[in-house]
Amino acid sequence: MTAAPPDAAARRAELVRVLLAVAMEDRDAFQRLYRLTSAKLFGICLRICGERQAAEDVLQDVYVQVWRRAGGYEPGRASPITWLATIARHRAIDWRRRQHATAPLAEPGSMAEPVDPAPRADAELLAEEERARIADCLDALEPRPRDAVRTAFYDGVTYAELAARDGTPLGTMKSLIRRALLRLRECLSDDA
Amino acid sequence: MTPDDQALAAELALGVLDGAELVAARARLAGDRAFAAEVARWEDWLAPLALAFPAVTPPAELEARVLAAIDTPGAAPRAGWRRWGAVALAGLAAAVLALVVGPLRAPPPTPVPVPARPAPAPLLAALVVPAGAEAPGRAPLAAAVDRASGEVRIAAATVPRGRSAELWAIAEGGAPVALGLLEAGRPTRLVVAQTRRALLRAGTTLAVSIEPPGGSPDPAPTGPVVAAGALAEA
Repeated sequence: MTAAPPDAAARRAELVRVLLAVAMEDRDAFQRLYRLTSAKLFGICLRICGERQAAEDVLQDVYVQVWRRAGGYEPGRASPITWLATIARHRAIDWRRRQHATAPLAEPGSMAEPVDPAPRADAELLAEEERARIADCLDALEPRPRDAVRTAFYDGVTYAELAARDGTPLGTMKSLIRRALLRLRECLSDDA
Repeated sequence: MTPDDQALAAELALGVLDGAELVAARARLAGDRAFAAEVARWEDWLAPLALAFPAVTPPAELEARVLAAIDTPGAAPRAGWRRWGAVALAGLAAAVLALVVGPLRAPPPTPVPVPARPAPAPLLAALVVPAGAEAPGRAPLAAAVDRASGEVRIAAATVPRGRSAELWAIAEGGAPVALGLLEAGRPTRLVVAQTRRALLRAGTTLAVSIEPPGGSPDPAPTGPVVAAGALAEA
């Protein structure tokens, strides 16, 4: 396994320090956190929301949440950028769900369209091995379950919407994804 | 942790669950540490996929907006959130809510402060008994949140003798935060501390756990979660 380059390790350590200061309600640290991470998190919000205005509102909401919940960050558990990315993704998905509660579902068959090839994550913030692990384990899945898991993740859709898009019965979609997730888990915990 | 539990944790982290399944999984998250750790593991595994999206610099003025937002304690969500419309409550939750919201409307004698300006829409939740936690005396509870005043109202709950029922708020991806104890056998009104009001939003799960008298000795629930449900706009 490739260790994080010294640069990445230093950036990560700095982010941890900044987050811990934010947890102590240090406003300057919060501004620093925003400057270090907002482009990364805005990229996530924009990709999932699909529109700029919404992504801006969601991003603001993410940072307000981070300000109020920074005490919940555990330095030992996740890398700080992972923690932040998870919050951003869930908030963006929340927004999408609210939108789609009233909007029609996507056309059936749209899942067959190619999803983004896994691009490279931000090398400065995330250790190479963390990026490679999920990408390699996803690649090891059969194409159909792999695309379904990717669509679920990238588009933030539920089983019901996945099944509707794919024209597959709900139960079939659930067992397809569940099997894929358990296989993924085996692969992910393998070299942990 | 069975393979089913592992799959459920993965489904929760991936975000594919909805309706009753989502409510039950969030209830597990509140009351089951091994399960919560499994969900956290999945979040960490999956997050690099989101980090692979290209970074996009947000407009410069957003920084000032964000900094202003954290200076407004307990600020209501921006008007934009409202425009996005009401959250579709899961069918089950809606049905349960319709059944149990009635009794909550009978106000207890305590006078309630009336907000001076038009309040944001209240948030409602139907707290249902999680699968596997069914027992005599456990029943769905309705909860209503007044965002302007930070007041949470919960329908009358049965509390086992010599125990306390504690209310928790769990933001998505967050740890449970104690909101207070429920009154035994009658409706409860709790005013959430200013610093915790950001939790009172659509999507946050409210959960009730049974604890030693006076509440959990830990920062997290120690007893079984007997009711849980997500807040949604009324």
